[in-house]
Amino acid sequence: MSFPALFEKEEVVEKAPKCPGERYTPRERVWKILEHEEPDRVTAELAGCLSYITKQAYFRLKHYLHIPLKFTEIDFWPRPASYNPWWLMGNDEEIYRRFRIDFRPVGLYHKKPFVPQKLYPDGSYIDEWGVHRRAGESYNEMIVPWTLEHATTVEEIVDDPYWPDLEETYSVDGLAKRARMLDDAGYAVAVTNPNPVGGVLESASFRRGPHKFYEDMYLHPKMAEALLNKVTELQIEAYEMLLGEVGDYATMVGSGDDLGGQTRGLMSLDTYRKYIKPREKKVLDVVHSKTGGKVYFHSCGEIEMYINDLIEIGVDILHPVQPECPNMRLEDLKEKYGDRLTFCGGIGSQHILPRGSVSEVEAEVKRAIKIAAPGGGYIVAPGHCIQPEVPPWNICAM
Amino acid sequence: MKSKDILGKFNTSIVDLNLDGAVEATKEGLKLEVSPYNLMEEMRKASTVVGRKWESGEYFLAELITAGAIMQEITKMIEPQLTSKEAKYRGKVVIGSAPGDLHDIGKNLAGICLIGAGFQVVDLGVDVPPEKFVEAVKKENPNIVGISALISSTMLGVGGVVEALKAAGLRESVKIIIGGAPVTDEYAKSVEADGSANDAIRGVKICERWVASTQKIHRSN
Repeated sequence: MSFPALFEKEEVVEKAPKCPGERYTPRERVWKILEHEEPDRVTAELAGCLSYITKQAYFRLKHYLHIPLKFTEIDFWPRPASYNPWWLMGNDEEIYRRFRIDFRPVGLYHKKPFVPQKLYPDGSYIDEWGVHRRAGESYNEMIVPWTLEHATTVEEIVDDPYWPDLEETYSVDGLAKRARMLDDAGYAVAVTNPNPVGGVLESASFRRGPHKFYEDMYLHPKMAEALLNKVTELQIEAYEMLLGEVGDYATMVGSGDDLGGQTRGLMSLDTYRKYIKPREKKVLDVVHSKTGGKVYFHSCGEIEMYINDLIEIGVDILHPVQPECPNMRLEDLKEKYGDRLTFCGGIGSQHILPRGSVSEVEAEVKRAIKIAAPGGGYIVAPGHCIQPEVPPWNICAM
Repeated sequence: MKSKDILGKFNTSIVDLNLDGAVEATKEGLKLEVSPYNLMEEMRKASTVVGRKWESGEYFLAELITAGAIMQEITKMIEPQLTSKEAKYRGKVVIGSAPGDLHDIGKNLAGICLIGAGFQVVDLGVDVPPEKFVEAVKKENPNIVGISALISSTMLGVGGVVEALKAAGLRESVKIIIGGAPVTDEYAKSVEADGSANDAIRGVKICERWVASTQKIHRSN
């Protein structure tokens, strides 16, 4: 069943409304911001396009706003996160309009309702990218045993049967049309990362197991390289599939790789430059060759030490800018990198969003705008995923 | 090679993340009848140096994990050689991820660092319900319970574990440390835990301080 056939009638995208006082269309506004010019107002991203909101927080938000759930939101097929109780791909248009969100997402979708590659008796499963997962109470997570943790040769890694067949799994039918309609309507088309696991580091780590993979980089480098090369190849294939259809309409293209922990990066710069950076660059070179849109890069945690390298390999927008990390204060990053990077995020999601008062959330957002929005180069967004316990009134306040 | 040289090579290999060197030094040491206990002590010293490199910013997670993997490997070689008199641990720690938390990276790293520092570690795994922590404390009689929570939503489950230990009358018999990215000392206090750590090295130091002030000594089973 193809994407458009899911709906009773042909999808229509209404022209983006221009609210009183606004001078630009959403796309024009976002482009001004990305080109480091001040537009008519700040732009915001709620999640569903570039950042993330959990199902639980999203459903409570809808309930709070008296917006009914749609059947497509209960199971998210045909979006990539259809099996996932955690991420949501694309919000209700009513929510986007209520909060004047300028972005609209476009991404790969499953050809058929998600069927895991393998299902275990305990309910865990191997997903389409070969990662072992289980749905916990709050979210869906990658778990042991890692599907490549027992591999002892390069061949076992390269020939592993759980690598995805992207053409079998995903479809691009109707995507070009949808992207064009959104672009014509004046929205900033946000092309979502086609890899639901993340980037090359995450994809390698979550197949091999993070501990084993980090050990491999030091103790079994050929294994680390073989695994990284394989995920890089798949990542490129996925982007080629997606951007071949929508690259002409993209304002920004999502990518990412979790490089940071809470207080420091996950690896030294030398290790990053040896193993990860060249492969990330290879992927982003392909992305830039297929679109005039800007590259949006998600990386949790403390990643200041990698920022110059990320800019070098073609990252244009950085998310989520976790303010709880020691060197990720918006004011410092704006001063140091603000002429070369757009920042998306910076609103505390570990403490303020889930546990702050409405006035604290408002104060935090105003603070972030004051620091980072002058001269363009800033998109208001949560400093990470909107967790299940974030109250809907705090989301509204943000 | 003299035993002093072997211990030196053993120590340096761990610190420099040289698995082959560490394994070779262990084999040579055991062959020359260097006391397994001395080898374990040397490993603890090396672990301290690795910890210092982490604190100074020279070593990152990747290096800690690699050092941990090397220490695990050589511990497997040395432990069977220890006599029951020699197998004295600094303390025993029961660790597990908070209820609902399926992450194990931080917990595993903490476990490795604790072993390197001379603790006996009982790992309950991920998504550990409060009753399982209680059962483990009754069975293992640890000095310390470590609860790992990587995200703010699962951090909220830590309080339930503390309450379960209280209800079972076990709270006073253990120290509780919570670890993970969103954890703060303030939060630890609010759930009546004894301490918190955002990284494994800091967590180990807290555990070392605690056991230094108690009389509980654990011998290998």
